[in-house]
Amino acid sequence: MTDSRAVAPAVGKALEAGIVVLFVALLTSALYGGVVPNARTGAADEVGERALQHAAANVEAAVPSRAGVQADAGEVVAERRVSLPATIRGRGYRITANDTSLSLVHEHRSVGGTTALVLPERVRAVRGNWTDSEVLVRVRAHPDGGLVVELAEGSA
Amino acid sequence: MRDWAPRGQLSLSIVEAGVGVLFVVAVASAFAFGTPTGGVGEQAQLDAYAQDAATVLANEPPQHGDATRLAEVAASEAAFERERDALERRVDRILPDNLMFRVRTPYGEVGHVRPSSAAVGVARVPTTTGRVTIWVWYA
Amino acid sequence: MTRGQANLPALAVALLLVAASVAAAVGLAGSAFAGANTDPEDSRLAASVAERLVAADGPLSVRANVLSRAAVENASARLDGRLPEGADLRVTLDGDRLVERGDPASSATMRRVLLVADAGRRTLVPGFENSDSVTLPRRTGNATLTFDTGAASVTTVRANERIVLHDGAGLDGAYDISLSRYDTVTLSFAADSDLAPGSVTVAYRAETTTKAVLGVTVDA
Repeated sequence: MTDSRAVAPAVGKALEAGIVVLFVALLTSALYGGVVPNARTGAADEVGERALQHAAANVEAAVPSRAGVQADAGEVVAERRVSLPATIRGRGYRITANDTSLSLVHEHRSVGGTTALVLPERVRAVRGNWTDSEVLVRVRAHPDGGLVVELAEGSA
Repeated sequence: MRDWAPRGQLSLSIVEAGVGVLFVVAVASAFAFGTPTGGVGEQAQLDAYAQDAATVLANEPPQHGDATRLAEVAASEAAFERERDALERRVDRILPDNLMFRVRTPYGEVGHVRPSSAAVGVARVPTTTGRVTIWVWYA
Repeated sequence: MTRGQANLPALAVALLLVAASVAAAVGLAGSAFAGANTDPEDSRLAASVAERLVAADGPLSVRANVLSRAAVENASARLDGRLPEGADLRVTLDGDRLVERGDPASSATMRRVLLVADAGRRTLVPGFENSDSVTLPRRTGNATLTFDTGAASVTTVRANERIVLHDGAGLDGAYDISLSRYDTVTLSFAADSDLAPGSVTVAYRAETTTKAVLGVTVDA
């Protein structure tokens, strides 16, 4: 009777458990090796683009619409608070202004980009950069007329 | 006691696999229902329409007296009663045909009833007697 | 008695099922990511350009939400250099294309409601039959009065009780006066004798506004 008996149930169960553990390990390594980093990068790319567009929309909205604002040179004409994500893909990032465009700079090469700013003619320059998550747009009057937009950190 | 045929054994592994598949499907359903569509947002477009209607009204010459059409209709209760039909017609003409609107002045309201389940754009204009609010939504 | 090992094929099938469902979920995630790429840049640029064109200090504007017909007819020249670089875009007014650069295939279109103002010059020659005043049929911001009164001399001109011109020696020639755009104006003339018809000519610019819908489509 012993020659037709299968392996003892305990060994059978141990075999099953071993196969399942192997399967889980294989699946985990396959996912974390390729699928998960790609998904994180894809999500980070999208979040970065939306953060950049949100920043650009706020910079444009900060410029006041009254054409004849009389202010002393250097005086702050308008200020606007902007909320940005603290990190993208676990790392910090920087948003830089360059007169007619805004760029997002991030360590990962597929996160980031540049977008154009649509501003009235009165705005002479846009400068500054942001590294925080709670930041300000400050619009000042230029001594020769016109406005200058500054990207400033929140606490300043 | 044992009349019926010997019972089959439901393999426990299949049950376990079924539960596992259910878990995975539950996670997958979180992103299977789709993401918000692109294009200019409905809310942003409606807000822009409301702001446009408010700006056009606020800068228009009035029918009778007072500074602008909006100031005239918000000036007093009598002025509102007199001007309300003209106001409704004017806003109806300004906005595209697929939009419905409601205008609230300190002395009364004109327009359709605001929907509770659709996106509604809003614009507010301050006047000397109070605030005039315009709501706009897709019909 | 071979039941102990009969579970292994069942286990293999079960694991295969789980692996297949994981693969399906990963595929679904991939398509969800592709669908999540809503291109926020297009809609932001469309909204910003539309806001710029409609603003009071926009390149085509006379005042807030009012464009000038002359500027609209010359739109491609006026907007040259004012629109964001590197993006295909199309600006339409009531469906007619004002500016088109490239071939924007996106659905990010922002629409704004505005008025287009036509400034036409009108001339009114009052008859002075019953009174020494005339009411302008359209509201206007300014007017030019030309006096050719001959014997009678007009000393004062009032617009809605406000004195706009006064000369004790008599007004002669052409004068520009500014009026309130929001009021209907009645011009009354104070003269030392009755005025003959045709002695005063009032030239003014009357603005007629038509409603229009501006559409901006951007494909960055």
